[in-house]
Amino acid sequence: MPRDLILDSITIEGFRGFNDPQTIELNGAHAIIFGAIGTGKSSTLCAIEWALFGNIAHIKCLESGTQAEFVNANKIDQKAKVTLKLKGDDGDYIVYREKQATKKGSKLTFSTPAGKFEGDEAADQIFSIFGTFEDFHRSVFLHQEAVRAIITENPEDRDSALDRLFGLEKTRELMSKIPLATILKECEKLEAEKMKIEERIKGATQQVEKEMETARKEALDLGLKKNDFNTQECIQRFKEIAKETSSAAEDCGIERPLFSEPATVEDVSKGLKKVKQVIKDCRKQIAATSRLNKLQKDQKQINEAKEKLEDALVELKEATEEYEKLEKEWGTIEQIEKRENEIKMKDDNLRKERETVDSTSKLVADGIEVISKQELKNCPICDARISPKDVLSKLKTKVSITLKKRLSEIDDERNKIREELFQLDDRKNAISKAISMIEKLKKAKDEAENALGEVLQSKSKGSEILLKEAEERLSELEKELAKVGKALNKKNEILQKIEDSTEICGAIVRVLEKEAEYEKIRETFAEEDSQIEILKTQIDEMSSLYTRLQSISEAIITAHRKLAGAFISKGKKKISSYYDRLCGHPYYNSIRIDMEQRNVKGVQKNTYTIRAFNNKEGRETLISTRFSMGQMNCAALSIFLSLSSMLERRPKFLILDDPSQSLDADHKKSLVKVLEDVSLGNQVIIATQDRELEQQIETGFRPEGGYIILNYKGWSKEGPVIEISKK
Amino acid sequence: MVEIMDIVQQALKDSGADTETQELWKSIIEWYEKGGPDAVEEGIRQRVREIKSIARKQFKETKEVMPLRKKKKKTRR
Repeated sequence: MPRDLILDSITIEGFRGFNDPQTIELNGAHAIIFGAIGTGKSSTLCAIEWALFGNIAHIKCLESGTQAEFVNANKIDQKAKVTLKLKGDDGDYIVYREKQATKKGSKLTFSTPAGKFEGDEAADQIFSIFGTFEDFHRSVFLHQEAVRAIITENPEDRDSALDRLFGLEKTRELMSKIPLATILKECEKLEAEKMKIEERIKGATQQVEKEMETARKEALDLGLKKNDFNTQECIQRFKEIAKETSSAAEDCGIERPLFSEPATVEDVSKGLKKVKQVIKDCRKQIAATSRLNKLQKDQKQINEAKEKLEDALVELKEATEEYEKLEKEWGTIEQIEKRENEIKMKDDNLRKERETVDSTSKLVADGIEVISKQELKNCPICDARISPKDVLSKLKTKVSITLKKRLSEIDDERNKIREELFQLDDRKNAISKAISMIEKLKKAKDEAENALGEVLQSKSKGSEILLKEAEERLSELEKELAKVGKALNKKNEILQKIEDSTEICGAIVRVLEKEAEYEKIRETFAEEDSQIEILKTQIDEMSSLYTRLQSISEAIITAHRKLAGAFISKGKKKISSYYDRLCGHPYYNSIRIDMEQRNVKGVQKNTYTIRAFNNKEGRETLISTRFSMGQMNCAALSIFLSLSSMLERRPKFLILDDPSQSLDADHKKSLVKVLEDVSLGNQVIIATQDRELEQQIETGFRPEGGYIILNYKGWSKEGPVIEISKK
Repeated sequence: MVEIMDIVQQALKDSGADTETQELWKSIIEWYEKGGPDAVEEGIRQRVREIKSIARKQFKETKEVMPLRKKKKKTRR
């Protein structure tokens, strides 16, 4: 393998602006290419990379895939040819590339001291010496675009640019091509599809499932266990119930029922219905034939008749007491009637007297009238002289005082009589009412006595005797009832026990029926079930793929971090040193590259930031937000120059295309000094249109062995006009 | 790139990644060597397609075994 390869000459023909063949002899010297914009400087530099790799870094998308644009349109043979002559420590290396405009691809020849290679073999040989196209750009050829990308504010562009410098751009690309987000989306899509089907099934089975759960809960509440819910257990239980039912029916005196041998839950369900009917019949039979009913009926009748008589006696007693009380207070009816007659007579007398007084009064009035019409001068009795007016006055007074007084007295007396008469009448009525009530109650008592006697079938008379007999009879009945009831209870207990067992067996039947119903519905969803199974498999597989790719992705990021970190750490001092010399910032005297992990759309990525800092005070800033374009350009140049010097490379030439972008005179001066240092052990080829840099180089660039100046003056038919001079 | 491939391989081994993950990484290396990062993406997408197509095939087979659902006959009114 050759070491320290330097560029000896370049021959360009039909490439871009070049028409006729032109050879630029460098003889391994440093070269400064001056010229205004569009005079062919970049075409010369591009010819070098095209010859080596058949590609040009900054021309990413050609108008056609044939790269026909590389061929000069005025070239008669429509061919672009570039020959590079390189000198190594073991001899000359000649690269020749030829491109026909109408054809895809190009022809490559590589002559080395070891032999001549063509096509892919030649490309392999170039690769073994120069590395990849990316390696070349990382360590040999600093494009304007590369500088711009390092200092850009766009993190993605900056990350890519720095990765290119570290030789890790393929790793980043590889990371970005692992479609984690897509797979995650696929998983979610499948999960959603699965859920949709599950929801559909759930919607249909929900009701039955609920009923099944209720049936299970009820059965468990009855003391059953989960393992009781099976057909075998159900049949076994039913058989026992059927046996007990038959026996109970016989005991109750009804026909022994026949139960067919159950084989299914349905059979058991039918059988249980029959058992219920038999129990019902048994109860009816017990009710119909039992002596208990007759005894209870007798007991009820005696009790009712006894109570009725007791009530009648109480009521009669109360009515008699009430009558006696009235009689004591007002006397008997006869006494009241006697008094009534007395006062009626008195009233009659008073009435007569009143009539008399009234007649007298009228008579006196007539007398007064007569007298008032006659003129009497003497008294008819004593013949004394009288005055008619005085007589009249005396008569009037007598009538008005005496007669009226009496009349009033009579009226008062009569009123009192009337009141008493009313009172006497009321009393008479009340007593009569009490008497009739007593009569009525006596009659009721007699009826009650008769009724009780009839119920007791007794010929005895009198309430007391009958009531006593009733008590005795009831006591006898009580004893008999207890005796009969005991026997009946036993039968009822057996029936109740059968009913309880029926209920428990019924609970198992309900659970099994609901389970069967549920299964039946589930069967109708067999297609959906298998769809779900498939989706589950898909989800599992997809999730596994995602997890594996995630692990791989993380491993790549870790490896990427490790390698990039090693580069950064190795170049740290040199970067800061170049930066300090190039930039000469009054405060931020060092720069460094920081790396951190960032989540971009669910994918982890390593990202870089370039920070300037003061190494004494420790303050720092992001260069993309704080620095001017010129200062940022200095930072980018520092990174490129330091990293290219770190890389192990065989070419010992360094190409810088327009390195002084946005720099002022002082910074250009610094750049020239740095380039002078870089030229130690490197063949430096610089292309610039910057007159100020040109002047700085002329005055300050003093590399060992001098340098060649290629002055691009303009264009001729043959191609660019280049003046070559040596300094 | 060769160096990083080795580091990743080692990182996977160190992290106790299962055989399938290591096999997948080997496949990624093969795809990458054949056609670069785009081939890797295509390879993974192919895996996704395979997962889907195998399942679909399985579903088809199941469907054949299953009895068809009865369709309701349309009656004219």
